Amino acid sequence: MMTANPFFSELRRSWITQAALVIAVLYTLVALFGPWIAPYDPTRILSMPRQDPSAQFWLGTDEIGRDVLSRLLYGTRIAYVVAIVATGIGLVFGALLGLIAAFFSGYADSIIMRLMDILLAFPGLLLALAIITILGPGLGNAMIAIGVGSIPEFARLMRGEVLGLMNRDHVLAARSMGAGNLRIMGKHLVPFALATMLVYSTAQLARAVLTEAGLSYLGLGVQPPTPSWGGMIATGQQHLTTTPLLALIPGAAIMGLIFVLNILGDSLRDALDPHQRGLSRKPS
Amino acid sequence: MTGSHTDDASRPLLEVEDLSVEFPLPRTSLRNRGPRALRAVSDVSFTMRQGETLSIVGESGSGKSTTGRAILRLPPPTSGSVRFDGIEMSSLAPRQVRDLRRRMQMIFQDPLASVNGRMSVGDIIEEPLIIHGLGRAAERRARIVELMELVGLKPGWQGRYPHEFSGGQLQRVGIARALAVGPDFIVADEPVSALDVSVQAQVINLLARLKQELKLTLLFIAHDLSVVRQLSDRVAVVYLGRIIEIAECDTLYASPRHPYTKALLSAVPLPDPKAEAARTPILLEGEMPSPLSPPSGCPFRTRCWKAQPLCAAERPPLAPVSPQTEVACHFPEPAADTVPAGQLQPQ
Repeated sequence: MMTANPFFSELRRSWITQAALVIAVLYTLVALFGPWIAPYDPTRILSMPRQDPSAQFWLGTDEIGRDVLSRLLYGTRIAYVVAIVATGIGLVFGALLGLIAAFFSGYADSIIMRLMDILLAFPGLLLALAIITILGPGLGNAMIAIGVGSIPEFARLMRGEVLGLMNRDHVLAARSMGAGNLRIMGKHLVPFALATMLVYSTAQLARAVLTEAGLSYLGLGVQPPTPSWGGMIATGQQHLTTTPLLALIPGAAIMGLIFVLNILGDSLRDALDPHQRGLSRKPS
Repeated sequence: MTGSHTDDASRPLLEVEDLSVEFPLPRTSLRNRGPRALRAVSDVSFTMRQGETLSIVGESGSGKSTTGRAILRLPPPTSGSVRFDGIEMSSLAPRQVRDLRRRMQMIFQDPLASVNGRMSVGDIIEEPLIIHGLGRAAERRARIVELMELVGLKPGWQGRYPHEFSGGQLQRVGIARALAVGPDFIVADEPVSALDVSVQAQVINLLARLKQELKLTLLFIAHDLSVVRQLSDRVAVVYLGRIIEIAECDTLYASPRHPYTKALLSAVPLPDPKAEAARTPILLEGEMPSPLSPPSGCPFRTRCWKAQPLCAAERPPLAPVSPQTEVACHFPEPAADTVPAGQLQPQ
């Protein structure tokens, strides 16, 4: 139904996007199949602590002798799960609140958006810390904390999109036909706002990865012995002068994933932008 | 499906009385000087008989589209009354308004913008049927085919998407969608303004035919007197949110009484080149005043070549000057078939 998907034409134009996509696919494969690729059990002590990379342990062993490569691969999966679930929470609740605020305007708009402003006043990690303090540390609570923190931005974005869409003729036409609110929202507003929301979700995924790493680094996210990138940095940094790889490897993994997600998010935005803000109101 | 709901032919289908529409303005400063609202439509009144076509003509910004939309409560008027088939629209609950939309439909100016680009044209035409719960799936499919044939589209195209169609074809989709639920009243909001001239005539002809076949009551909104003549029984000319002249179609074209109508008509090209060369067009100076600060008295006086002090002091009411014509002017033009003897006295 969409003519020549704009993302794919953007993809053809830019080799950076192509490279980012390849790397993102690799990360995703690792997240999906990490447990099968990993040479060892990530929680088992296999040898002497802090060994240098070798044929047996490609990335060496950590401070108590576990395989760093296996922990890294398992950690990818954790990072993915947290990022996707947290972003999903933010997207669903944020979009819903933004839609309600824009659609009903008036009091609903004022109340919802002032609440969002309050949430927005806290820096992301601080808000996550506050929520973790209430709910207690752990994987699930980390996802909730990160997700709730991203609701306001999603809500603001969705509200802006819907406000713009509400003035479009096809929405007025639906109303003139006698369509009810649910039909107008579901069929004539949400599908048109979705593209923008997905672009923002990509950027939000990167932020969620970073926040999860931050929480785990502080010991409030994923609990040991479950491997997580943030946790690996936290323990690795104690040996930064003697075995810097222990902190640098998970650091590089985080940096790489965020970098790639940001590039993909930007490309996606470039690909969709002219269609949404451009002069010609072609159906995108 | 289009059975006449009013058996009493003399009773109007639509009665609009003192309709006004205001749009609230954002407060720009705390001291809040200046107007609080933009008055797009002021005290518009008219009635429409079953099966009649009334055209509303005016420049952009004159409030003509807003009038049409306010009748359908999109958005509802600020004040005034709209009675449809005797039912006062403002007294209805939202649910009842939505049910009534089955009888009142709308055709839009921009055929591409007014359809959902993510739906196939078959789905677009079917949507009002689903909304109003008309027919089972198979019956609805048959109805789509029937409607597409009625407006001159190939039924085989129903799986296609809007961007695959030309403007004229897409406007036919818009018309089919409006007709789907069998309405008896249709607001056509500049349905041909966005189309090529050659396609305009086709769509006008289609509307003229459908109006006959389906006994539609049509409120036709246009910014150009030339396109409405063929279709209209009566024409209302609006300026700055007010009706300044409303007359039987032929009378208005033969004998415009308001200076503004006369100026508009002089801009319509004549088919006969000799006649076109012989007449002197009236060129209006300036632009329509902002509805934020309308002039005192007659809204048209700032551009009228006949303006007198009275025009600034008093707004002329819309009043009958002949059985066919009502005009809002202190010094209306003489009727064309009478010798321009004494001026009509101001009221």
